[in-house]
Amino acid sequence: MIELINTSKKFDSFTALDGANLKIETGTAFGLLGSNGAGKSTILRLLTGIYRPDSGEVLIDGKPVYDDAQLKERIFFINDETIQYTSYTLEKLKNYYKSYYSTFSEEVFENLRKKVNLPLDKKIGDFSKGMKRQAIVIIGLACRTDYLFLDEAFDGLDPTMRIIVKKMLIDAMIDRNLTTVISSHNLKEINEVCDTAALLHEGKIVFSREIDSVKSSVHKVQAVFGGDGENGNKTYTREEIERTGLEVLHFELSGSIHYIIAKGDEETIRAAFAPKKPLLLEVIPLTLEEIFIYELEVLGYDSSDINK
Amino acid sequence: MTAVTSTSKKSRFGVRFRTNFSEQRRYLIINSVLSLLGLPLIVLMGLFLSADDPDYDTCEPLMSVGVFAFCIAILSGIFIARNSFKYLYRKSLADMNYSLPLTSKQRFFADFLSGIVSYIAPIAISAVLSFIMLLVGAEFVSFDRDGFFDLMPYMLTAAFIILLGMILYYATVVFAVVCCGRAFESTFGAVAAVIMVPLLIYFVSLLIVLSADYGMDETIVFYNPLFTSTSPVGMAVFLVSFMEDADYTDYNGSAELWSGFVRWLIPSLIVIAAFIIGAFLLYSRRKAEDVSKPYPYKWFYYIITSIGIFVLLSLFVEFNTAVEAGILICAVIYFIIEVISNRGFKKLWLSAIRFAASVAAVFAIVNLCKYTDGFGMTEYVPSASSVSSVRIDTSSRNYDMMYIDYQCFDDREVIEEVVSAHKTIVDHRKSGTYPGTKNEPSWGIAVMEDNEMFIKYYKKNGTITVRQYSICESEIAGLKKAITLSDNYADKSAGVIRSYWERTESDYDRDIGNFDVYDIFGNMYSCSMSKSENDRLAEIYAADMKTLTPEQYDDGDIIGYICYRLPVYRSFENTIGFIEERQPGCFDVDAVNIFNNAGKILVCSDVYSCYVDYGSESDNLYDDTYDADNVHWYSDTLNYTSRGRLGYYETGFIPHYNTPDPDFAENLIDLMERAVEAGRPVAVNTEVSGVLLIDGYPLFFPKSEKNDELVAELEEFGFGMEKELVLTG
Repeated sequence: MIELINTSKKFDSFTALDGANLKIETGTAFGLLGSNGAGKSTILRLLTGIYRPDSGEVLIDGKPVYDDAQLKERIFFINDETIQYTSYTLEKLKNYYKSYYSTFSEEVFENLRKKVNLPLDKKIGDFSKGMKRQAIVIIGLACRTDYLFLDEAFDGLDPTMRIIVKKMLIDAMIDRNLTTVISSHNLKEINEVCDTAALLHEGKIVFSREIDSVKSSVHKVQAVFGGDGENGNKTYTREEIERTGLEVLHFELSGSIHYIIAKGDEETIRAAFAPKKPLLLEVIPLTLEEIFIYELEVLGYDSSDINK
Repeated sequence: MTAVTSTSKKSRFGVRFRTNFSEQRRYLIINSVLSLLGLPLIVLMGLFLSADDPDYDTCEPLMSVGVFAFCIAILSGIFIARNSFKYLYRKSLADMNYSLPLTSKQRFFADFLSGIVSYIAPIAISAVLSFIMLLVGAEFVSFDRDGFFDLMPYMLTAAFIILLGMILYYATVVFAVVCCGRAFESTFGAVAAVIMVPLLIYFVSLLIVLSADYGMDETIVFYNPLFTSTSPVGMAVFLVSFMEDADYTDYNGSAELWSGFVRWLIPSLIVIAAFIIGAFLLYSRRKAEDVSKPYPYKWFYYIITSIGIFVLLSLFVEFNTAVEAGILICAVIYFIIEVISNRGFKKLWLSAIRFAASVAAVFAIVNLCKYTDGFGMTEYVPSASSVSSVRIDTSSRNYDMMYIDYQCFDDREVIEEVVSAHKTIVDHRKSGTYPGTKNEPSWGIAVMEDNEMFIKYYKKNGTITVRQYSICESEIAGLKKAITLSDNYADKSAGVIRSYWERTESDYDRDIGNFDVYDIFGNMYSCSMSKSENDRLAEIYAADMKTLTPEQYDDGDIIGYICYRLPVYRSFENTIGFIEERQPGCFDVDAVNIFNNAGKILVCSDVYSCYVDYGSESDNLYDDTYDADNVHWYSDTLNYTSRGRLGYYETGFIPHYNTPDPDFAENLIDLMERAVEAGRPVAVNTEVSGVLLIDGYPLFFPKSEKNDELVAELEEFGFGMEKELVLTG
């Protein structure tokens, strides 16, 4: 199990992570979502033992990661850059990591390499962007570590390759209970690969729970209420809706139609609106992307100021 | 969790060492090529130059190439060290290296060691190869193999010093790289760290020396372990001084040489350890995210720039020129560096404060030195009880000192005499009075102080104190006597005799060498001697020397010299007997022979200045030169002053006895015999009746009524300044 307990990390005066608390169960695929500069990469580097936390703890199976070589042998980190591998051939890079990871499997490596058809003797610097990422992913999987951390892992991959890499990850997770932590801006892929996710914004964790639970906890509501006045249908303000007990992420009124993004499951939302006797009430689940946008909008991270 | 066979600590270190070592391959190849072109090429060309018909036009340029390649190989440490730790200044490599299953200790020491092996191994291998080449090549050229093996301990020591210097150089660069976060800064920082430490120490010493009116020379810093142990530059200086000291002792293994080496070695090892441990501690505290910061440890930058300003400004202070302009120039340079480093004009006021502090430090030290007389160093004379041994070098024209120079003495009486002479020298300079007045007053003090004297005290606490003075000869008269009478000197003289022996070419296989003996007029006699006989002579001479009494020294009854300038006193019966068995009569002075063979004979009662003008009338007896003979002494004392202090005299011709009138000849010979009997090759005190110069070799006549008459008689005879000698026949 991975734990962050009240973890903070600063870079000079910039607070990258502020008192973060996180638990990632063994064998799960965990997605890290967030705005740019939210702290996703910082968390991954803390988990890998590259960064040392300024305060709090970063524990894997109850032990601090930083400077623990034995623990780090169970971790493989794939970051978002590939420039560091350009002078290696795939074979040389494989041998490099094989020497550090005693669990490295030649068989797994060869199987994966043949699947993606990467040459052994060509310099990685001559590969395309996608091929470079494939190279390090197959090495990471071949190391057969207990934990695999990926920072923007799918970046640069064509759709077919994305499917292949996703399948590789899923197979590994099933095969040996691999715990994966993936940071990505591609919410569709996080949705497809991960079962748990956390949303970060400005160094703080907005939420951390199962994706299904996330999706079922925020809904889009379209409502029209019957009026009793001369003007027809009744309309309510955001505050009036919030007084029903609902947490409103987004509120829009177009004529008499209320467009509301609210937290809560369908039953709760319907129950909250019931006393107002809506003429029309539609409760629609959101995609992860929509949840991401609306959650951050509440925190002030939105595109509404762009034209001002 | 999968079952993991975890890699052990030892193998993780080994893995990192191997992977980093293989990444150094490019530098290893370059360094190997340079190393092979270095020492082996130098040795090869040296062997060719030792051959019978050496080709200088080819060999010397190639030897220069070898020297150049060797120097580049030595300097390449900076590139190898930076490459070993490149993830500290290249952001793209930080994640890759810090995420590996290694502790910071394993990573640091594996990277450190893999780099240093890549650096040192090629040079070490080339040194071994060179040694083998030398041994094999010596078979084919005239090469003193025995002498070479005698030198082995010194060569191995020199190699060890070079090795330590290289390790310190590498460790200093690593230290600097750990403190810097970008490529440019890591290069700049590494170069600065290597040169700033010795420069700082040197310039602080310089400021102290400049404040002293006497006794201090800027080279004294080269003997200070603070300088020689703390930087690769300092270690190179120590290497030079060590080999110089070894050479001065003719590689005879002086105890002081080796104890001096140990006294240098211990602080050097401590400094090396400090740099390595310091680098590791800073490395382990350094954050991975510090890559791409110019200086993760800002104090490092502040220190090197402050030292740079200090050194630059000290230069202006040293030359005492336009110090205000110097401050301005330093300010401009400093602020340019600050703007580049800070990427703008941020916090320039802080930069101004730091600059002001550096300038203030320079003037504070200068004024403190002046106020405290170089922190009391100007007048400092160590107590004799704190000194374990002492070395004095006069490096003068005082040939009597030539076997005293560069020797180390641990005799308590000698040490006490040195300390006493040192105190006298300091007292004279402190009071501004000088002893020498007897010479031409118009020549002034510049002539009085015609000896440079260097004193090196090896203290019991392991430190070395060095002083240098321009002195008058009279200030060391007592010292010369004490040293000559010491057992130390007798033993060292034996060493001189042993080292003087050299096989002659014709008798190379028979182990026979020439040994030269001189009478008091510089006539040389050679005798053949085997090495064992030479060693026996050395023992005999040392034993005789130890029997020399102060009275015999004061009498100055020297009848000849061996090894050019070791005196043979008349009381050295065993030495005289040993030599005369092989070269009979070599010490005898034949008055007739003297007079027949002498070119110039002159007697002066006023010893300090003799002037003879021969004029142009005696053209039958003289060559056609009409210059005057001008004889004077470059010394403020005659006491045991050597012939070398005799002033240059112009060419001229002195009456030369050719075909004697029997009566005239008999009187002359008798006079010469009495002169030789009464005269001494050295003045035994400052008062003499006169001096007889025969081709520049003096015979002093100790002051007495009898000798006054003898000198008058010699003058009357025609050897004096005023009267011409008119010969008949």
